[in-house]
Formats: sequence, structure tokens, C-alpha cells
Amino acid sequence: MNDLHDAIRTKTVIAPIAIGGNATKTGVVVDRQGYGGVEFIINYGAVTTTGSLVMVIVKDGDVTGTLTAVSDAYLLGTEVLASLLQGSRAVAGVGKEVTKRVGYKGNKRYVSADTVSTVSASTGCVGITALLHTPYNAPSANP
Amino acid sequence: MNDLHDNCRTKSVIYPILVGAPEKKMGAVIDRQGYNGIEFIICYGEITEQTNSCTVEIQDGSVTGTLTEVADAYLQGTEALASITAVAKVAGTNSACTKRIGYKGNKRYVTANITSVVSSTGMIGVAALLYNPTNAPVANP
Repeated sequence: MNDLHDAIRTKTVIAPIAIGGNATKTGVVVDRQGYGGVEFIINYGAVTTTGSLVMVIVKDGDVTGTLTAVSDAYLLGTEVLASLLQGSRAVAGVGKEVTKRVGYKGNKRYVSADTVSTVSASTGCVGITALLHTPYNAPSANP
Repeated sequence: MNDLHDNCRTKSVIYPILVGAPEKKMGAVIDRQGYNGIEFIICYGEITEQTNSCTVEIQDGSVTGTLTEVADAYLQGTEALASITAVAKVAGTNSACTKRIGYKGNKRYVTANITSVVSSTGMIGVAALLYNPTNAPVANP
């Protein structure tokens, strides 16, 4: 069946924004209720600064106010694979203008993702969307 | 099963970029080969201009050079639902929000374009999520 559309829901975690200087961009907390899994989709823009380092931190918790970093055992893929590491920005789709992802398979109700830029000012933008999948009740409304 | 991760792949169609001046941003052409379905995920940043609209257009084709607009019958959801209109902006609804649209046609190449009508300081981005792979698990990335 080619219908994922009616079996998912997307929510903004970090709306597309300039990476800028050293900073942690705190993601919006997403309520997983009604969905069996989450995939975070991280979009990176036209980053030209070779020294830029944008690390993704996935967090979860039972209440919205106290989310902590997720153990690697509850991730599908790794935070490193989802992050934008230092290196050449020559190739679009690899070091810039690229989309990465990391899944969450834990059982906490609330999840989120932050980005931490630890190197001075960077060009380009970053954004994160949470894709909630495996709904208890389908079809999911759009949007 | 809670594992979509090993059964999908994401590709950048329009990487996150300033809306800027009124124009049509052309998406990268996505090759659907090896995947039976595709969902476009459109991310809107903080777009504050009430008069701004961003209209999504999905295109497909059998070769990369001649994509044309997809008939509504081959879309899941509508381009209108995936777009934002020229009304007062509310965070989570038509600003700093995420929308989506599916493609269920059978052409190999697809893409998404976005046309904005007013200069804006907000950002937009589109990612393609390819799913139902012919071979799984799918490598990451």
C-alpha cells in the first residue's frame, strides 16, 4: 500500500531558522500520544562554513517539563548520523543542503530534539520536523 | 512495528532558505526508483507578513527534464492544504508550522516547487520522504 499519508502526522520541532552563532536551539516538545513511533527529520540549508558543527540531541520524558537526553538504545540510527559535522561544504546533499534523520523507539510520551551549535557563526539554516507514525487510530487528519 | 526508520529515506527538495523576494523556488528532482511512495514535508519558518502566501506545486514526469504539474487524482491531501494563504499568521497554523502532501502516481521523477508572492523574512524548506522500499532495511543516510 502506497499510503503513508493517512498514517502519519508531522509536527514542527524547530521551525527553519538561521544557525547563527554558538547556541542551543531548543525544540518544541512533541506529544507522542496516539502514535507508536517518531522519526525526526533534520533539514540543513546552504551551510558554507567548514567549521560549523550542529549536533542533534534527542530528548524524552514522562512530563513536558523534564525531558532528558535519550539513551542510544532507544534511537534508530544515531544522533551523530543526524548531525552536521565539520568538513567540506563542497557537495550539496552531503555537507550542505542535506536532509538527515533519526528515529525514536522508546516508550516515553513526550519527545523533542535540540540542535547545539558549538562553533562560531555559521551560515545556513536548520529545521527539524517530527514525523509521528504507526497511529492507533487511522486515518490521521491532515494537517 | 515502530520502525519507519529502516523503511524510509529522506531527500532535500528545497533546503531551508529565506523566502526573500517574491519568486518561485524550484525543488530538486527526486528519483523515486526503489520506493513505492513519497510524502513531501513542507516546513514553514516564522513568516509574519499577513499578505504573504506560499503555494506548493507538485510535479512529476518520466524524465528529469520535463516535469509537469501532477493531477489532483494522484495526490494524497491537496496542494492547498500544504500551502499557506494570505491571511493573518498564527504560529503552528500558518507560521512556524509543518504541512505535508503525498504522491501516489507512478512516474519515476517528482519534485515540489513553492511560489511566494510577498517579500518575507521567514524561511521555508521541503523534504521528500520516500517509503515502501523495494529493498529494506534502507541505509542511513
